[in-house]
Amino acid sequence: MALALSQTAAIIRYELLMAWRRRALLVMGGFFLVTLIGFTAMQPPSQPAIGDIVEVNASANPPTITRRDAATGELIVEEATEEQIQSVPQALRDISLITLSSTQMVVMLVAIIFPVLVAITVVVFFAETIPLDRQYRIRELFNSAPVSSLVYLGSKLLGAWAALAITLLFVMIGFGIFARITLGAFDLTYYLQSWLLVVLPFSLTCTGWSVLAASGAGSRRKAILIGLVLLPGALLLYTLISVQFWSEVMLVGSRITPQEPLTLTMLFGAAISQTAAIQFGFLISVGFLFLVVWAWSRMRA
Amino acid sequence: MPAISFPHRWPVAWHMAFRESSPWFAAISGAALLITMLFPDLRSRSLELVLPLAAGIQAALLFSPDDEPALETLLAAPRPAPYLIYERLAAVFVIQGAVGLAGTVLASVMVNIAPLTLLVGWLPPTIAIMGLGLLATFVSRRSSAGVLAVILVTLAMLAGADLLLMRFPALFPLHFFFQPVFAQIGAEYFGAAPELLYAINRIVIALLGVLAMLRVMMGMRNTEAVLGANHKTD
Repeated sequence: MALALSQTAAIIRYELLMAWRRRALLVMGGFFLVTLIGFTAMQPPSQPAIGDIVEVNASANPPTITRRDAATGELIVEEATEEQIQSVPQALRDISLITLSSTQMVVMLVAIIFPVLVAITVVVFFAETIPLDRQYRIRELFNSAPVSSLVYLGSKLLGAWAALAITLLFVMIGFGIFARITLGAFDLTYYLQSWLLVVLPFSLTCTGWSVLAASGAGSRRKAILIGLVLLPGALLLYTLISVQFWSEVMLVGSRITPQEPLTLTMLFGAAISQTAAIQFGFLISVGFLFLVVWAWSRMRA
Repeated sequence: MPAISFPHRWPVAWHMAFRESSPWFAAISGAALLITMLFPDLRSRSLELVLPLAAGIQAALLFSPDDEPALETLLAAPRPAPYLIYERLAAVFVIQGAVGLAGTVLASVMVNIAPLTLLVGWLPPTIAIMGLGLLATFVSRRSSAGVLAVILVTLAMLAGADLLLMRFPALFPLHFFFQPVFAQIGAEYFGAAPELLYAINRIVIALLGVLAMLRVMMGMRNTEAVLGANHKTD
């Protein structure tokens, strides 16, 4: 067991090192980040407010109001009058419209727009993970070494997942900084949740399908073609999760009442958790595929 | 009598070129064309939706220095190395061109549009995306990068280029799938004839593709670089 674990760790380490040296991670991460920044930059500038009111903190003592100065755009916090409080629907009190708007923007970009880039990129990019060894005749070396096919296949898959997770981590941090500067303050909880519960499992599923389905290919070219065949499946999965996410967010609209305070949990909580549940269901399919590929590789050996 | 010297004519390995250019792609693009033509809304644009993408992917898979067997031998042979690109690109042109021409005739009958108009619609973006795929693979030394570049640029152009033109109309020459109707709108904006704007767009994007192909052919002359002397390889 200890030997298998150390072999797994070593293969993952060298898989990561190879991905780094080939600049694959850098190119993929750079592409993801630039595209996300481009999408954000293309959004029309918005200054969410009801009249000039940005936030009514009715539960504070004394109640405060944040207004945007029409001439300078500066935010001014002052004590609220009863009339000003009443001018804002109850549902929109005690919530910053800037935070609400920027959180909605980043969550939508990350959970709905970004996965389509991931779907297209990873199924083609990671398909060559195992066939590359065959093309460079490394498999013969592996077959002569005391590395079981379970360890080899598992480590390759985990190595690809680790490379992808590191890339996504950098993109998440980079885009978070950019969004904070350009869009203003947003709720970090929902930003992190959309990355960890929507984007990450989706990316892992697509990568898993790609690495495993193309594992039998004899060359890079064949592996890429298998990746292309998988592309419609990945896009179908993307459609499923984006429709699920979007419909949950839309459903919230029908539940909003003027009396009930609108919270970010109400807006995104159900959408993220429902989408995550579907995602983890699909992640199980990678496990089944792994077993099939492993059994097939044992039969072929 | 002075001797007239002709440049040496090297043989072209057609059989190998066709084998390397995955001729079965013709069946895929043909089937995709027929499927898109089943939808009346897509019929007039089916050629420009299918052919650039199919030919681009095929071009991206044509020549990847890291995956080319016996590359050293090929580069050491007396026949100039760019011949590898000439013959394979020609094979892709023949394969996709045949599908494209057949599709043009079929679409022309189905949607009642002049064949030349349809040809001008799909040929320039096909050249541009083929050049892009070939160049991306050559520079990155990996077919996957070329294939990804082709897919992403095609999808981005189809999905977002119209929106981009609304914000930056001056970028119209770079829109791969520029439609005559946009030329009409642009004519009012630029104060020029729509035919001129459309012609500029078609010429510019076809030139982009040709330039990308020429860049690869020029790059093939630098054998050290093709062999990856300056690259961290796998």
